Parts: sequence; C-alpha cells; structure tokens
Amino acid sequence: MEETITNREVIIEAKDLSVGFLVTKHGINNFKDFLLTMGIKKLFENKEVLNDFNLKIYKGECFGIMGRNGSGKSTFLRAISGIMKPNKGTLSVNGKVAPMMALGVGLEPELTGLENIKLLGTLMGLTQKEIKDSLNAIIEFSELNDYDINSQVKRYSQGMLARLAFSITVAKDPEILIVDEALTVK
Amino acid sequence: MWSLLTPLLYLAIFTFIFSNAFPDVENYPLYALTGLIFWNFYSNATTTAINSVINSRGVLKSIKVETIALPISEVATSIINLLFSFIPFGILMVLFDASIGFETLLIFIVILLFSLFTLGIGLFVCAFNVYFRDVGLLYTSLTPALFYFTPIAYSTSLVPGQFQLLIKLNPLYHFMDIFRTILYYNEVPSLQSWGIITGITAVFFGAGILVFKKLEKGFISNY
Repeated sequence: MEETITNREVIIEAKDLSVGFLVTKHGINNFKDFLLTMGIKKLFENKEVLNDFNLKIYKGECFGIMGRNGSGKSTFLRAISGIMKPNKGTLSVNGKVAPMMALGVGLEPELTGLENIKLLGTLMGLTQKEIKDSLNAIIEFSELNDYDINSQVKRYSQGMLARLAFSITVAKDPEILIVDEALTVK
Repeated sequence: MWSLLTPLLYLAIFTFIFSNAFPDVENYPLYALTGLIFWNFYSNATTTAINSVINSRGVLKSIKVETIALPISEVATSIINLLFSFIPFGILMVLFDASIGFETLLIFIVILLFSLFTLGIGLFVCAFNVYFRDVGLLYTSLTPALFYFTPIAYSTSLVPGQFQLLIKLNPLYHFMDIFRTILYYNEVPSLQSWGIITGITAVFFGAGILVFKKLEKGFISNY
C-alpha cells in the first residue's frame, strides 16, 4: 500500500510551511489610538496561523480538512490558491487551481449573470477568447435560462447564485478544485 | 456623464457669485475652470482608490488578485474620465477665451506626474483604511478643507503675506500653479516648477507604494 502511494504523483506539497499575517497590537482599532501610540509601542505584529505544517496531497485524491475554528484551514486553502503567501517553508502546487472560498463571492449584484461571467472569468485569469468559448458551457452547466442569465444577480436565489458561481469556477478546467464551505446555503 | 456635473455646478457658482468677489482675477471663469478640472480628478481618484480594497474584500479573500491593481484601476478610471472631460471643458475654455498653443501639450506630462502623486496618496490612505476604517472618514472630512486650502477658487496673491508660506506647503498648490501656467497664462513652466512637482511626485508616490506593500500583508485579517 505504502509503495503504491509513494509512486503516485504529488499535486500539493507543504514542507515546514508557516503562514501568517500582520495584525495590530494592543487592541488598536482606530487611527486616533494609532497616532497616540506611534513611536511608543510596536504597533503591528506577525501572527502565525500555520506553523511548520507538512502535508502531501496526491493527484486524484478528494481531500477533506477538518479542525477547530481558527486552526488555519481556510488559511491553508488560501495559501494553495496563492491568495496568501507563506512566511517560511515551501508550498508546491502542481496544477491549475480553482478556488471556491465562499458562495457567490466576486459576483457583482448590480450586473447580470452574463456580465458576471465575463467579470469573474477575467478576474480568474481567463482570456477574452477563453471566456467567449466557454460562455455557453458555463450557462448550460449553471442551468439558468435566458431570462435569468440576463437578470441582475441581486434577484437570484441562493441556489442560483451557487450554481452560477460553481459553473464559473470550474470553467477554466482546473486540476485542483478548492471548496471551503462554499456551498453553504443560508 | 454625471461625474461632470459637480465641476460644472461649482463652475456655475464660481462664475456667477465669486466673479464679483475676486474682480482682480482677469477672466475668472477660465481661472476657476483650470483649477476645478484637476481638483475634480484628484478628489474622485483618491476617494475611490481609498475604498477600493475594502469594497472588493470578498474577491480578495477568494481569488488571487494583485491587491495593488484595485487602487491603480480606480486612478486609471479617473484619468480616462479626466481625458473625456477635456471635450466639454475644452469647449468651455475656448468660450472663455483660452489660447491654445504648443505649450498646451505640456499639460499631459503634468497630468502624468499628478496622476502618480494622486495614486501615491490613494495607496497610502487606502492601506491605513483597511486597518482603521476611520481613516477613510477622516480623509473625506478633510477633503473640503483641502479644497479651500488649495488656490482653486481664488488667487494666491489675495492670501496675506504671513500665510503665503503655509499655502505653499500644500503640494496641490504647486500642481495648480503649473496647470494654470500652461492653461491660463499659456506659458512654459519654469525649470524650478518642474523640479518641485517632480520631487513632490517622487516622495508621495514612493511613500504610497512603500506603505501599501508593507501593510498589504495584514489586509486579509482586517477586511
């Protein structure tokens, strides 16, 4: 069994990975306090969320991560997606990533479904030609009819939003699909 | 189209009311207009750039996007609006007896420097606004004061001598001065003027980039 696993292609590998971000210290949450404390105390500190984290994920695996709130699950997924950069260690991602971090994120409520496909597609790095070529496939996969796809997204139900967002996310034919509580329908 | 409404309304007020208040300024509507166009650009560009990251926090948390692209795109949009506004404002300037010559082309170099300066301010305040939301509110409150502190509606010659130095500490003063030298006086700005605005641009643009890049690392935990 071990032999079989080691022969498989590693698609994501974290080695001694540390990911964190800058936070304000001393409970400073407004600019007045910031100015009053400036030069007296250190105002920002680096908060490590993941520390010396090691993990290998193999091609073809459907991998689930569970943990307590604040344990760094979303942070790790954001690091894989390139949204957050590691402070230490290495993170190898050997494939095209499509992150789906939250339902309907990036969809602009005032724009129509069709306009949103073009907007999100561009943000996700698709070229205009790729968007044009995959437009029909996205609409078909989202199961939205002509009327709905030309309506403003703010009029969509949660289910319609989820279908549209998912269709756009998978449009770039990803090798790694990241789903972070994204399909939670309120 | 609506973005042109604010400067046009200001211009109407300035022309009909302040023309009499500042009789010493020759061709007052043109004088006010040459300041208003660029103030409108500065005000719109900084206000939208400052809120650009917060307004797109959902996208930034979910998709790999270069954060700095957001304030840059807001300033770029304002530059496009500024260039489009030259069509109606250009007509108005001709109506107000503006003379257009070879020197007028120099305005595009000043616009480039002014855009970088504006972007620097936008980046600086935008970065702090992610951490402390009151920074944006503070900036919005200070903007009208900055408008009156900058010689847009009035000439600096009307400012009492003891406050002349104070007025010149405002970086916008130097940009307004060079805009007017080209568009109102139809002259080539002095080397000293070019040097001053280049220096101001380098300092503000450099500081903006530096602060934005330094604080960017913590944006995700402060959206």
